[in-house]
Amino acid sequence: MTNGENSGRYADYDMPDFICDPFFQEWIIHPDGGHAAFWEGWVRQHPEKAQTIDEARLLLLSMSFEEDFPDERMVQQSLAIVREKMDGMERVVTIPQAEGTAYGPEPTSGGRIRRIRWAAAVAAAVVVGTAIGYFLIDERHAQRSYATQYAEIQTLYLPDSSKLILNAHSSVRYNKEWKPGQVREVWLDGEAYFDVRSVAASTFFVHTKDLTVEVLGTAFDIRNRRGKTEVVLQSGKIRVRFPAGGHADIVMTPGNKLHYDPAKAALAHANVIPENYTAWKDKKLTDATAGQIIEYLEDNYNKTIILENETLADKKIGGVILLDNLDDALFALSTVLNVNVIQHQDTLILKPR
Amino acid sequence: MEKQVWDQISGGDQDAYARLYVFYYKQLYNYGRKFTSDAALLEDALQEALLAVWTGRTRLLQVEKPHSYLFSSFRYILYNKLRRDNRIRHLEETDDGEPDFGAEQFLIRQDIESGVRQRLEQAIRTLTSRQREAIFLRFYEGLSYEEVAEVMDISVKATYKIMSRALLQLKQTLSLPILTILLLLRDLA
Repeated sequence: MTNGENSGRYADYDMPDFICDPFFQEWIIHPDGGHAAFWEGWVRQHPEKAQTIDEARLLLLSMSFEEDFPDERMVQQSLAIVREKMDGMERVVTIPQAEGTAYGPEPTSGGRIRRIRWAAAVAAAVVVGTAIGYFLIDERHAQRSYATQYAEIQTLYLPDSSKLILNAHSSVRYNKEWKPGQVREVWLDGEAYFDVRSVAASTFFVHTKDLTVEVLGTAFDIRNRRGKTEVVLQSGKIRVRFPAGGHADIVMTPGNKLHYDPAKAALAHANVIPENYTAWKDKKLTDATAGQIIEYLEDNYNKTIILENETLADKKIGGVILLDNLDDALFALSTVLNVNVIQHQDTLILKPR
Repeated sequence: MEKQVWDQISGGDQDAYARLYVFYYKQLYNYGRKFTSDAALLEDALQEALLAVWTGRTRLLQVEKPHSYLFSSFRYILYNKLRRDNRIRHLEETDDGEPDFGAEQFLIRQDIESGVRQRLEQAIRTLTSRQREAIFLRFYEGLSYEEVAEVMDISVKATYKIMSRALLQLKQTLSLPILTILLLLRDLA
């Protein structure tokens, strides 16, 4: 299914138009289908529509239904009764068996049974029993992975429709198919902001090299750079585990920041304003020191930046620094720190004036 | 359910039929529960709809989309039983005497801020039964507009109308941009 015909109109769509658009809906209903590629690409080309799209997605994703499934025993009992009826019919009616197959010509339409991704919607109180073997489709263990280039920020949607914003020079990996009742896992190298959907009976894990975050809530940022890992929780609740041992699990609440440096076996805990740490999603940093900004630019733009006067590294750059492009960020830095930027291929030297 | 299973059933394969029975029983049970809590009535409807797959198996090959066909057949059987039942017991009726897709079956995610959630749930109560059902079939069961139309026995055009009216009504209840509300107020206890 292509969206080609409509894609010209989308630029003029507002939120109500998107929620009523069948192709947009398909993306919500089947987040791992071909629609993902189209919409992710389209949003990249139309960043001014990103908020509208987010609002539309949120409304559609906010809807869910009571789930009421029979237990296995009930199903088998029913089947047994029907089988008896079938036997009863066999005795009365003979089904003519023709020579060869009873099949006619190939049916025209696929009759394909649709995979039901949306069945992972939140279940509230009244669940009669568990749905065992609900999906009787063969296992496919294929993984999907995504890597961003330097200076690229990419929004992705996971098979459960959780949102993931992948920062530059980062990569993420996960199984293509997530089945209800199983854990949801993502492997991250680099930095990403997670906005995790609540799904009953399915814990969400993010694995980085040194630690695993178990998601009990929703929105948090993980930064795994230069051998250190930093986790900042914006809302909800997460538990951080250290699979290599050495530390007990830590439960974090909103505003907590955890900083882990395995080389120094150092674990630091602080309270911060989370938005300052997730501001990179909007391509800006807030209230960072010069050193932090330089590190950030180095990590995301693949440059080496040398601050000749190292004492300047701790200088707080009050307010907001825009990171949309490297030159603007360097210009802002050079003004505040009163330095000149000397470029030599991929190395930049910030020299005091 | 792969096409293969349907083909096997049309050839008389009882094991394939048992697999299909187990698979669809659960799905249709979940769907039927939206309209009634009468266990016996629901069980009758399920058995009737599923047995019809077996008794009508020689004609299965002519069915283009057996999945939505089964939903549509089950719904037809369930509705008839409920209407008959309603006439006797005057239960679970909407204004026009039709079975009602319970408003309480349509929920809003738990992690949406409670004020917003309440407004959305209020809006859900103002939707018609058909609107709630259409959204369920599309967004929960993942059916296409054509399939929803077939299951509900209405035109595709009517399906589009019902769906967009319902969605816009939900959207309407929120006076502020949703994203702002959800981000500002998203505070899990």
